[in-house]
Amino acid sequence: MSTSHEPRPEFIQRLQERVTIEAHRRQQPLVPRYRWMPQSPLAAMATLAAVVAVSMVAGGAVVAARYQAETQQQRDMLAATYQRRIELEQKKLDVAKAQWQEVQRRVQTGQSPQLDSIEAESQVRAAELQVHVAQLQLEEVRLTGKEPNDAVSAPVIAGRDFVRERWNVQVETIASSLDVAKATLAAAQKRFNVGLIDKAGLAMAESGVRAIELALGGARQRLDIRQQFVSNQIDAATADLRLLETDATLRRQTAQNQLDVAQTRLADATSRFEKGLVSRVDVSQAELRVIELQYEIKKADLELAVIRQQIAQRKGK
Amino acid sequence: MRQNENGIVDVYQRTIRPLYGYVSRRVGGNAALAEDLVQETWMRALDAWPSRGMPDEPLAWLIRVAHNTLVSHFRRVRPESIDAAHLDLEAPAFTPDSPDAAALVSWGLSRMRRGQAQWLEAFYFDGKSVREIAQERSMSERGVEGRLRRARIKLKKVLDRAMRPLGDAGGARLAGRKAGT
Repeated sequence: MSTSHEPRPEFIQRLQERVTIEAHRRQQPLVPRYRWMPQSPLAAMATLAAVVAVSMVAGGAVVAARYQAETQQQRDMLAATYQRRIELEQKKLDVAKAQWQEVQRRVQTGQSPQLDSIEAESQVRAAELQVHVAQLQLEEVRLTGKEPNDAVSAPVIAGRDFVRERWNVQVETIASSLDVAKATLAAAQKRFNVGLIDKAGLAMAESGVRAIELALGGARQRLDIRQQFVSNQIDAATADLRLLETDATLRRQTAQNQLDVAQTRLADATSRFEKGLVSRVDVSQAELRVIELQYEIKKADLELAVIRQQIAQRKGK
Repeated sequence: MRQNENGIVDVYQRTIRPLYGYVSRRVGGNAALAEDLVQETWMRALDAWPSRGMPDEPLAWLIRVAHNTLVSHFRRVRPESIDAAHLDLEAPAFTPDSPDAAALVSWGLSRMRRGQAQWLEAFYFDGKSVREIAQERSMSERGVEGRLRRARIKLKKVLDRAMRPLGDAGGARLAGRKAGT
């Protein structure tokens, strides 16, 4: 066979980015985090509330004790580690830039669609932001001699709010990926209009845009909570609870977004099954996905109820 | 959580090339289609693995899902750019290494029983010789040749039946049906 069956490097890179993001996003709601949770809703809420309180206290202690660099030597070693991370991120940026140039060349000669160029440019932007994050981490390590702290209730260091600075970069990174998702949706819409993809394919692209918009909203809310903590409008415990609330809300919205797509896929699979185009197993898989997501939504609702009860109790104090 | 993510990325890096090669050979090197199908396979993995756990043999799992994804694709999309009559499946030199020929063969295989299709897949797409297939399955070479011959006849029948009236209503009707149904 003369045809090459090697994947394009830019495809490997692009899919790896997507796999990393999706793995992070999907693990949040799908990992059964409360296997031991009692069946009674009241008992479950009480247990979860206790865990929230205990983990807040324990979490604070762990963060404080972790990787303390008590000596100058340890501090230097820690700084050297973060210096190497900057160099690594810089190398990734160089690769992303080279790939973008290559993609631009292919687009100009008609070998690749314009979408590839938008994606490659977005990867350059994301790589630049990662270099910036690594630089901020090194600056914090040099000032504190400790691992960078990204907790919402982390203290401001020498007048600098490193948490806000890094979370701002996170917002920019997500905003950058939104442009790609919108361009992907526009391309999917065109393919749908000429019959190249089905309704489920289009729904998936729409869901991709919604997912990033939700993530962007969540990231901005986190920044808002941080700001309230830094300006002493809320205490550390309330800030932690508000952050848990934001994360649980995001998980619920993301699951709802995925549920919309899963229901479209189920309708599609059912229709195809009736025409003899797919097997009963395909329909069952689609049904299972819908049930999984409905379960995730219920679980997020329970978490939200418990967290909001805790917030209300703190307000009452 | 971070370890799980790292584990998934590690599996991705180890499996992307063989997985892509598996898919690409079955679509005759059509890069756009191969990329779509590989991406869909990985999205299915990300749907399943976080809740059910990573399989012991991730590549085998991915290839099985990629196979199902290919079959689903070819049951939906009917190749129209080549006439089955131009394919000489019996010719010793025949290999479905162009996108059109691979699409037609894959389309036909997706309409055959798995047990029969796998002989032709091994021979055409995995590039295995009769001897290699015989060794893998602990069979005689003659036995393998017989099964390949019967599978080719079936494939030809499937393609002829569906493709002969290309463009007319009969062809369109057949395009949406499984062979033998």
